[in-house]
Amino acid sequence: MPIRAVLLVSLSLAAGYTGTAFAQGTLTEGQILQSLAGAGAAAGAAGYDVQAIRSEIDQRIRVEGTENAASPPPTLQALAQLPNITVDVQFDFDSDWILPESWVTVAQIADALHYPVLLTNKFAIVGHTDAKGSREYNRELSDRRAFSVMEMLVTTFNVDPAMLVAVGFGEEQLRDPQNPDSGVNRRVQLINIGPR
Amino acid sequence: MRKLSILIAGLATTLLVVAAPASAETISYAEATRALIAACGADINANCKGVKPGGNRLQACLAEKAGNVSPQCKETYAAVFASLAARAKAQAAVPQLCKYDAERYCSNFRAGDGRILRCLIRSDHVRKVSKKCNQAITDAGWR
Repeated sequence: MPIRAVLLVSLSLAAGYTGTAFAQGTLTEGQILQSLAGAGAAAGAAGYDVQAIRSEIDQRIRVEGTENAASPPPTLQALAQLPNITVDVQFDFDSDWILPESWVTVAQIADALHYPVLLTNKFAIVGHTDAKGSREYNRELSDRRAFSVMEMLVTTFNVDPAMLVAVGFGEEQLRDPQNPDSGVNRRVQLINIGPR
Repeated sequence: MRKLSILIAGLATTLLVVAAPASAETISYAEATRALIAACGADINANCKGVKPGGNRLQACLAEKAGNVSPQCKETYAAVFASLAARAKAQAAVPQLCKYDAERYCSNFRAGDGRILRCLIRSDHVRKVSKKCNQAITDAGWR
């Protein structure tokens, strides 16, 4: 009996807030758009280098005493300042396969990304896990899941790949650091990283 | 149950109509996916677990497992993927169909990243932009 892993997709856009969570099935296109519109220059640094972020995380994982740290690395904190919306995407256990019940959610994200107001921006799809299991494993799994969301957006819903980057943060930016093993920490974020 | 089949058949018909090349209406990705999951969700979980929908992989799996796939799913999935393909085709056609309008009304916009599109759909331009360009943008689902 496979256990379903719940992740959250969080779409980030204008400056200054950390986003709203929507339960599965209650999300509307209007909510996504509303949360995503108006990002523009406020998102600022279009210079987010995903490769650099990845190596920052990998470096930190190797440092003793940083596990479940109250504050994530600076780059990740900066990204967290960008506005976002949070929705459920469910994956098969231990897998990057998005369960069919969550395909509509990914399609809704695609609909939002096809609106002209968002077409001019670039988005990071970020995968997060809870703190169960090793940090290395979690980073790798969240990476694959973020790429899986990107792959579905691009191959099934014709989102321009030039609009997207994907990266897994593993357990390095917990949503609820007081409860590192809690399911609320499992999520995927879509962050508006500024005009492309 | 009968009501449900009628509803699903209705959906499939809608999708077929939408998928026709001359059709103007473009359904959203969410609507298309809702129809797919309503008709095929159980079939996918039972027969095509782990198969991602991109790149024709899901259609190939459902065709291969045709003996186990429900009739309502068979009726629906081809229409859904045809509608996704039709929309992708419409999106790819926009630059060509709007080339003249883009040069005429939006020549001061940088190409290639949605800026020209945003210019073309501005309310003051929509009225002047050619019918074929406006239609192409609508079919692409870019309004």
